Amino acid sequence: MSVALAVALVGWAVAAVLAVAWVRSRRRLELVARAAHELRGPATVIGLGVAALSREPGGLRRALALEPQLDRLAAGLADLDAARTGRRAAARPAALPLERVLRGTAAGWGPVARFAGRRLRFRWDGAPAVVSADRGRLAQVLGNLVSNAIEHGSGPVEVSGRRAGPRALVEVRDAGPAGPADEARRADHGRGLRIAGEAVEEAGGTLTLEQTPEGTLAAVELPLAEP
Amino acid sequence: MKQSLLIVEDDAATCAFLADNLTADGFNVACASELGEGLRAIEMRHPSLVLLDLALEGEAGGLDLLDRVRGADGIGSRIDPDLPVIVLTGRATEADRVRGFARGADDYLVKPFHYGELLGRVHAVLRRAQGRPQRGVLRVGELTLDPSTRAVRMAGRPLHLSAKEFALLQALAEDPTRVKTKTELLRDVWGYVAIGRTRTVDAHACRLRRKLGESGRAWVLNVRGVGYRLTEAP
Repeated sequence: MSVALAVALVGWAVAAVLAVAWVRSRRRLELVARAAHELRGPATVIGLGVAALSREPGGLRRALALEPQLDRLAAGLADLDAARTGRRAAARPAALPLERVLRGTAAGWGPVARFAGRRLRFRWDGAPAVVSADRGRLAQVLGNLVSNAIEHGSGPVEVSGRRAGPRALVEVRDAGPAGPADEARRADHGRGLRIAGEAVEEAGGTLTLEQTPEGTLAAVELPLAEP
Repeated sequence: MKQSLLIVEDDAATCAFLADNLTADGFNVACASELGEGLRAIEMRHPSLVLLDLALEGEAGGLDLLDRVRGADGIGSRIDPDLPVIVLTGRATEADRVRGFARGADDYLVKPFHYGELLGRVHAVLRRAQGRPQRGVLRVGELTLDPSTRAVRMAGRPLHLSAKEFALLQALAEDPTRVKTKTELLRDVWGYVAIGRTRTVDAHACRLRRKLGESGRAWVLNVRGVGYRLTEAP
């Protein structure tokens, strides 16, 4: 076999492998697009159902608890769409009443905490705070921190919020032990924390996770919306 | 008076839940699932605003419906080409949004959306559309005027107007709370500019007021020394 023929054969083989990879990649993107499309319809209907639920006697509290979950779902779908082009979905900041979002998050995760034999307490201190953030991203941040505390912490989970000068402060505390448990928390929920961290940074805030003598404290600082 | 919305959406569950919520918020709501049905509903119901999905039953999509609305001539057609339209869709890319606005959407909301946000946008678009000159079928309160068939109805009851009375009513109804001067009305309805004083406009306005007056509401209001407007602001 001549050298030229060998080079040609190798070239053809490489081209064939690349073509197959390209077709598979296109197929994957198409499947992601279809899955996202199929999820959007039911997610819309559930959201409208929750809005209808909020009008019924006693339904407002339940609707409030479901809203952050729907917001997380919407944010996830937007990311799924954007992932096809190798990006995250762009944030759409809006002025959000933090107490309402936080109360909804606590109400939504309360039953989960009870199921795990834990208590979840919510407290808002002082004046209301309106923050500038993407609704879905904020729901991702709070949902990840609270679920992390329920799954990996111990003792009661305390969710609190307040205004602190030109910023708003959210704290999620639990009595989870320091050391290896914290490592497990970081390792197991690294992805959730990374998502939360990116979202907070995008909103111009900070996220810190620290061990205290009482347990674990996750603190989020967010800028207030312009009046 | 309740404002009417038309939902053009192929998913029955979305349509039903959306209609439930919007009805609870004080709107009259109708649904259509494909292009032909949507266009017929626009022609017959004259909604104040359309919520339009882009993926409809059949081959034609929501953008085709949008083209048909924006392409209506507003004179012979029963469709108002400036009818407010909010697109509700799962197509979320920047190119999709740009395409939607380029084809004439007044607003564009990606599914799944927050109902409160949708409601806010509906009110905002309706607020912007308020007081705009209307084309196609004109509706002012209980009064409906169809230029294509030259039919006028008051609370569903037909009124019989002469050609000039109809033209005068149409000129006033296009912007019902704005005062039109007699010079404007002479130019637009009779096609000439009067030299000196003329009672032509006053005489027709008086007859028109008498024919419309049975509804109990004041129509064809004289603004002394200036001209006429169809009615007071609601």
